[in-house]
Amino acid sequence: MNKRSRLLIVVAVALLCGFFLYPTIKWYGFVPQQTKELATGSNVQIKEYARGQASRDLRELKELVALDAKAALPSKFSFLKESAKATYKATGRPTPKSWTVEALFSGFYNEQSMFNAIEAYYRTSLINTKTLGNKALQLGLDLRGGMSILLEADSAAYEAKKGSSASASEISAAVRQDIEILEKRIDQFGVSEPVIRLQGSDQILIEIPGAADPERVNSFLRGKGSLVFKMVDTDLTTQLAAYYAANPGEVYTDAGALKQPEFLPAGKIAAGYYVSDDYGIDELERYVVIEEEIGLDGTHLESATTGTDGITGRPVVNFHLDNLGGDIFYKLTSTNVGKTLAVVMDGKVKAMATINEGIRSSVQISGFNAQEANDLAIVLRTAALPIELIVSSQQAVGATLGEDAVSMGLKAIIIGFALVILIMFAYYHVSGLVADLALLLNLFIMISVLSAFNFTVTLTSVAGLILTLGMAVDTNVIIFERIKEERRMGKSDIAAVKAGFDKAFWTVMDANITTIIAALVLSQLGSSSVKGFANTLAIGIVSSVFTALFVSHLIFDAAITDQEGKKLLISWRKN
Amino acid sequence: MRTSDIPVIKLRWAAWGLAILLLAAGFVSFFLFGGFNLGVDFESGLSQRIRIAPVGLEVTYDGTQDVVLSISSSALSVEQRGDAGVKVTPLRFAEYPNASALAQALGAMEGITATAIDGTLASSTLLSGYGFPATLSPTPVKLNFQGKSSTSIDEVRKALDVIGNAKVQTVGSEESSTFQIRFGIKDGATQASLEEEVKGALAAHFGSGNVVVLQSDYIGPKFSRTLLTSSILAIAVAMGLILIYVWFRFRFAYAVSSLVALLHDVLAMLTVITLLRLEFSSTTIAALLTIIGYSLNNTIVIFDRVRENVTINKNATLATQIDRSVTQSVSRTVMSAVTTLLAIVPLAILASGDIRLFSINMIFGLIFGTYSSNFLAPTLLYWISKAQGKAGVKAK
Repeated sequence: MNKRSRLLIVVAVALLCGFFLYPTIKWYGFVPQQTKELATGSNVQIKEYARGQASRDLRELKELVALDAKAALPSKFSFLKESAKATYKATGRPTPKSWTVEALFSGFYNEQSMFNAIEAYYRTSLINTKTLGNKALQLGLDLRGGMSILLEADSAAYEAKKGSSASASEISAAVRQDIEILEKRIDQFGVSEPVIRLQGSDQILIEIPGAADPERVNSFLRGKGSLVFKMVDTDLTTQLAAYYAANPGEVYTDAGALKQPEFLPAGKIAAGYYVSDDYGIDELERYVVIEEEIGLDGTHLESATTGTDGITGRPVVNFHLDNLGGDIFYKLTSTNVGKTLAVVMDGKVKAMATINEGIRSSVQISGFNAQEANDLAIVLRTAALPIELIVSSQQAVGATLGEDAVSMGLKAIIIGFALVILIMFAYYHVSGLVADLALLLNLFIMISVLSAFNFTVTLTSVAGLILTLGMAVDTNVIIFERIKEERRMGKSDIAAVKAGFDKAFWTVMDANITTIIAALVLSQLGSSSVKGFANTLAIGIVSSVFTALFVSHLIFDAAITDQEGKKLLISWRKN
Repeated sequence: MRTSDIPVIKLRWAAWGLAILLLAAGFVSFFLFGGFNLGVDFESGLSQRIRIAPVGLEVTYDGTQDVVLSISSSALSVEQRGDAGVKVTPLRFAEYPNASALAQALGAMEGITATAIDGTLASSTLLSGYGFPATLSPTPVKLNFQGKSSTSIDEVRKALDVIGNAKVQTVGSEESSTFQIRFGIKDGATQASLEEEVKGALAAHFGSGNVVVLQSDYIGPKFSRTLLTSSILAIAVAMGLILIYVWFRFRFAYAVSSLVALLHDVLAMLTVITLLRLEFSSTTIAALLTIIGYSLNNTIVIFDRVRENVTINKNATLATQIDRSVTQSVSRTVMSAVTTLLAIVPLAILASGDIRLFSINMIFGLIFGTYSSNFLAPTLLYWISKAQGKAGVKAK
């Protein structure tokens, strides 16, 4: 291969690495902290935030237009111009030359479409930031603080409850159901999105970045359910729908929550009726007015299953109440025959059903398709997990400790790095600088590969990084010593460089292949912390072989020519 | 060559004698100390890092908003989520230098009541541990500061006496009042009950709220067993595959010699770990594996040289070939050890916790690895080749 095509390969690798590293640099360097916090929230929180912002902006715009319709549009609203222009075009009107507040308003069909445009703007920009964050190199919980919990299914308790022995696949199915339920509870949990993952067949790993608050985690695991049954007010519901349709800017508060209209009498509240969308996020379908007073608390619920109606063959949800619950429910249902009952979870209406007669302990709700029935059964069951979970291991790092560890670790790495760079120059003269360049390139490649594969950087992977840097230097040392030796035997600079690289090739390969064998075995068999180390080591070995055998070689070949005055500087001494 | 070679073969008895002496010391100390000082990930139980620090502020909130307090290195941030949207107010420590200034600023916010317990404590010493970011409620949230007085390890031991079976270690300097405490698992105890018990015992001695939990690890009995078996399996499989590779690339004698040298490195490191009572955790496994890789690397470089010299100069005896090969590689050996040490020593000094433990293990491992590659592996190669009758023949 000639020098030019080798250079092209090196440039191509560097560009590719730069491409992978870009999201990481942008996320850590240019996204403000507050935006990061908002963007790492759950999708529901992002939605709430966008709705709140949209309500606020719409109000502000309405105030502006009332004050002076001819005023120039403030630049912070210029993002709305695009969708306004589209409307102008669609209606065949010329787009205004200068944008006034009034001109913007006539670019929308109605208030609702303006609200939607603003909401979409905020939501898209946050979701883009979120996507960026997901591509960036993430720090492990040990470095940024947080909590990791490994839960194990309590099969003994499960069998005791069931009264017979349970097969492994049965346990595993119950654990999967647990995960489903825990995922549904995430939204109520907090700012950062936890990771919930099945490990093996009967273990669940939960990682919650940022917050290391055991109280909150426990309440999350217990899911102190806020499942309640409440009566629906049908007349007010109709009235509410009409009011919201007329005033789209008045639906949400600035925090993105549902605003309670003033005409509702005391004791009645407006709530959203939510249906799970394809992504498992609750999608608001319409609004209902429900009684503030709780009809029946979900704690009285003993079990919930899906089935089919014996006569009609339609899917139904069956649930059983305890004795006290049965009494309360009978009283409620028998006095409200013909009215609608709502299943409310965390303030959201999840299901509604018409009461046909007074019901005691065993309740059957019909009127859904199979999927809806299944969803409702899950909602009802969310109050309790099908199989109890025991904490198998739990690790929590407070934010302060994480911060200290990061800053001290970084300091140590920088010092070590600087010392290595200095000693290479001190010992190998200008050639040492070539090795240093290879070392820096190596670091760059490693970090970008780590972020390309979406690895999480933990303390042990930092250790792997350091070791690899040491080994990358070593590869150069092997080659340099060989070159020096060849030169001592009286070879010319060019011949010495060639012989040095050739003879060192298999030494370097053998040494690195044996190490990569160890790294690969570990990355398959080791525990999770060892895996982080092994993955970094494996990546580092490949990139250090590339930087030494390819990049350093190219630099030497380019620098050492037959021309006079170009000397190989590989030592401060004569030889 | 010009200068005389290092007489590796001549020194073989001394080299092996020294190695065996060290390993024997390891055996003795292993039985004397009754095994390894197992870390929490190998020995089930609860391990917490705590800091004894006075409460400087108490904050309560009475209102309809969601108010969350979070602490960073430069500010105490108040996040209010309510009808008026999300509002984040950072109280920078530069502007609010002490607890009473923070209390005043917090108290001025709607619905928040802040009481300074000790107003003179500096804001920059605020600690953020377990429980932060904290959601405010009518029950007071306590903010701890690094205290001015330090707590001795004996006091912590006394406080934990009620639970019994506690291991306490000081973390960092004496003044930081930071401790690592560990408990074995008891029958019927769960992670939550164990944590509660520890919290109660510390509160009884140091006063409620005066202890910050910086880190809390809990390992159940089943988890620690899987970890140990998977680690041993990983090492065994890795060594087996390396043996096959070296056998394939070199000869059987080379493969066995390099593996015995590796075995020496692992045993010598375990000796140091028992002698110095270092914690044996999954980090130690990582260090052991790293050293296996490093030392193997060293050995291969030297063996590569031996193989090359044997083919070039068929007249010399294997003993002189080995001496020459080690000598030819010596400047590379030294440079590579020095650069790796330079990268690791700052970590052993500055870093904390697992990384520090890893670095200390690595420093010893580097020394043993370099020793075995230069003295043990080549002499073993000499012995095996001689036994195979190749020492003189091959050199011909």
